[in-house]
Amino acid sequence: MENISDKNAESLNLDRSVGDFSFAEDYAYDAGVGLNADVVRYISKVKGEDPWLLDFRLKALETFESLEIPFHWASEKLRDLDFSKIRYYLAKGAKKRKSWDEVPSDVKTTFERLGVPEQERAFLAGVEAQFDSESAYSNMKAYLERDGVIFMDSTEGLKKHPEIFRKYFGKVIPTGDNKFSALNSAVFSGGSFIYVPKGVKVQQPLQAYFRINAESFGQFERTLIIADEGSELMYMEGCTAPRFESGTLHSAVVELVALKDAKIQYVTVQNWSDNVFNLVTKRGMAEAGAQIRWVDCNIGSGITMKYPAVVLKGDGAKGEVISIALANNRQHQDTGAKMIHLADNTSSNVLSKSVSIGNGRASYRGLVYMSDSAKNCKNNTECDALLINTNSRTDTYPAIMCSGHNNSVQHEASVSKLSEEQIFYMRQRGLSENEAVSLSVNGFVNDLVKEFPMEYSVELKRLIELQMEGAVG
Amino acid sequence: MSALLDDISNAAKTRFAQIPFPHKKDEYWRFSDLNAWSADALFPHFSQGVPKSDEDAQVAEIAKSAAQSALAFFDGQLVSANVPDGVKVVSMADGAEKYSAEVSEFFGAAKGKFDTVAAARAYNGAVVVVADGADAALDMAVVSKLGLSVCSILFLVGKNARLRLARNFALGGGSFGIAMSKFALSDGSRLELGTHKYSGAAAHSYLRDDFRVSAGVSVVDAYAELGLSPSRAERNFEIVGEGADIDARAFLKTTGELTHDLRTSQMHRVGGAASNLAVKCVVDGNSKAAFAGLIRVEEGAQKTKAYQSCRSLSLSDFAKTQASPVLEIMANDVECSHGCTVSKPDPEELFYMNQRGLNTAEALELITESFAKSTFEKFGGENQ
Repeated sequence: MENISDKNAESLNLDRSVGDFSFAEDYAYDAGVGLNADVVRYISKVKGEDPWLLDFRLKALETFESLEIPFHWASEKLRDLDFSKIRYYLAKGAKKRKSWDEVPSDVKTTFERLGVPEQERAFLAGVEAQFDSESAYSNMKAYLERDGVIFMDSTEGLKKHPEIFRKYFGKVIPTGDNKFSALNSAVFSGGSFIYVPKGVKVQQPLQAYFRINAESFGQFERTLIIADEGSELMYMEGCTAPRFESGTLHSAVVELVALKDAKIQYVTVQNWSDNVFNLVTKRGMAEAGAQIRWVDCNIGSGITMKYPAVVLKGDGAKGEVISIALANNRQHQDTGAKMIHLADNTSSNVLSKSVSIGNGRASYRGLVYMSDSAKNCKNNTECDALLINTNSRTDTYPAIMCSGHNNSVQHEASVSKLSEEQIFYMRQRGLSENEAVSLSVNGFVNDLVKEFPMEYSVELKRLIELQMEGAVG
Repeated sequence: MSALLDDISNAAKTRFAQIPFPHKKDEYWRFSDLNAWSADALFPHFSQGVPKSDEDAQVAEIAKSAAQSALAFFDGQLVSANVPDGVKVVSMADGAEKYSAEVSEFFGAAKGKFDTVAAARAYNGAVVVVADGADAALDMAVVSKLGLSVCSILFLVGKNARLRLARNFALGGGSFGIAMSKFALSDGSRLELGTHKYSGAAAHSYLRDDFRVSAGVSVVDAYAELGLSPSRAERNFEIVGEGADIDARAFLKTTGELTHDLRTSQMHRVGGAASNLAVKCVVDGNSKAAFAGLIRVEEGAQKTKAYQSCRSLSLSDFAKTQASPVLEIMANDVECSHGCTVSKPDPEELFYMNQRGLNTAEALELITESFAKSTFEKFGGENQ
């Protein structure tokens, strides 16, 4: 079995060229390479922003420059990141298309190759497909508008609904939270802004597709979702990126606000190409009785550092993180979860599964904090890792900080390898070794894949099979 | 005098001056009470100007009975050595001559702020040699009374030897006790180690134990920290031989405003060995138990079994437990797991004991005692 696994290591190098494609770059607005105050002013000017927002961006730039990358725990891979060689803003500059027919044909082609056919869109509640910095297409079903749901890109949201936006903008994740949230605050463009009014339950998931389409172009989307009292929504984002020679930075900030008794579910499937630095700050704030659930799957990128967090601020709030990570050769998936319990009777649950293939490295980094003023809080964390090859690596770095009355925390982690008996059984039944390994891996993550919405779970299984492709013969 | 020890001492003094006191960006000191380990907090010890607080009765008791121990160290000076056959004790200076490679390696591992102090005072302490095939049982006391009290002990355990060692550390009020030990365990040997540490108020206690575990070695280890002043213990198990088996347990009890800090590492350099570490903490008052444990399985160390657990019992709303059980695994055919829980005493257990006539305080004491005893059950009889 060891020999076979070693064979896997070599042959598992995924041929990602299948999904790697891009189109000639043709941008009306280009902020150039490198970052300084002029770049920030340019972005703000092109977007026609109010002065307060320019001030906000410039202050964020100062904060960004003053902060260090925390190399005392962060991956050394980040040393390859050269902020002076990145483009911080590119946009087509085309006006929003009201109907699908008006979308330029090259953009359409990209969407089709991404697997977002027009027909499928008709079924979606609303689609904000981000093509580079600006939303190239936006369409919203009439019933969403009727219910008063706001779903637009964040630039538009800032202009049209400043009274809602400004109240929560940068409140869940302050600019200085970390170096990359400061960077995002300085140069953000695109991303979604969603507001669901009191008591409205959005039946269908809201979706956004993100795509990076220019070399050395960082994508800095900024998403803010506000679910007012008693409302519910599910938001889905999927990412693919074409491969380029030099590293591409994706540094998003996602803020969720779930007011009293609201429910937000945020689903991500991330499949960047393996030269992408995926450094994302995601955090939700749950008021009394509210629920926030992050469902997260990380398959691509060279390095991902992402620790979705829930601040349980109100009595009885619930937080959950469901996470799947697949680290193929040369990839490092540094993912995890943070649960901050600040109120009584709050509970949180973290389920994480990772698969390391070849010399891939999957790390779980988590924090569970219970303050001494909180009572009857509960947390459960489970991390399971599957190591495919003899040189695969997995790490678990949990931090547990617990005090207070009748609070309890439990954390468990385990490591396993592929079961030789299972593989043998499947081979006996006529499956190739590759199929058997793939099936076994899918079986390992299956209980979490089931937590994804149907469309994604199908896509996910296919992605996992793709990752395991070419194992033997 | 020993040229080797002089060199070690001088290098350590230079290093001490170069490296900073623990700070918040130092991952190795995460969760620690950094104020308790700052230059300001420790300077009075270094300057030896600390007024000795009232003698702690328990420390006095231990110090009195220490003289009857097979091995007794007062402030790093060996005061009695009444050891059984097969065991030899030599001063560190003599040890440096006879076992120069081992002694250099022992002090060479001192890279942190406080183990460096042990290396700087390299003459304090002794080398204990257990002959091949010997079977020895001894007890040992290390008493710290000076403002800065350093004691370093290197144990060289021969092939197929068995050492049963009961260690008692006692720190008087106002003392900063630094103890560094290493157990170099040769093939096939067995170590049964029980450690009890107690400190009076206004002291600081730093303890480092290194275990170099060769092929076929078995270690049964129990460690209890019951002191009344801030402590830090670093316990490193380095497995370099196949077939080794380690069963390590630790118990921490914190009260008042105190932080006890425990760091462990289970380094599996080769495969085919097993290690199991179980940490239990009882936290009360405003105190904190900080624990960080690392299991690292090196590349190629297949067939490793490594487990770790941390269970904390919280008796007060303001007591804190901060734990970070870390796994770093670079081989796939291994069994590794860790678990960590923090909880209150089970209300049903309390109710049961209340029903049987115990008041809540007594019941909690009983729960704490049973929690602690499980750490030492392997030794039969020995009760903390």
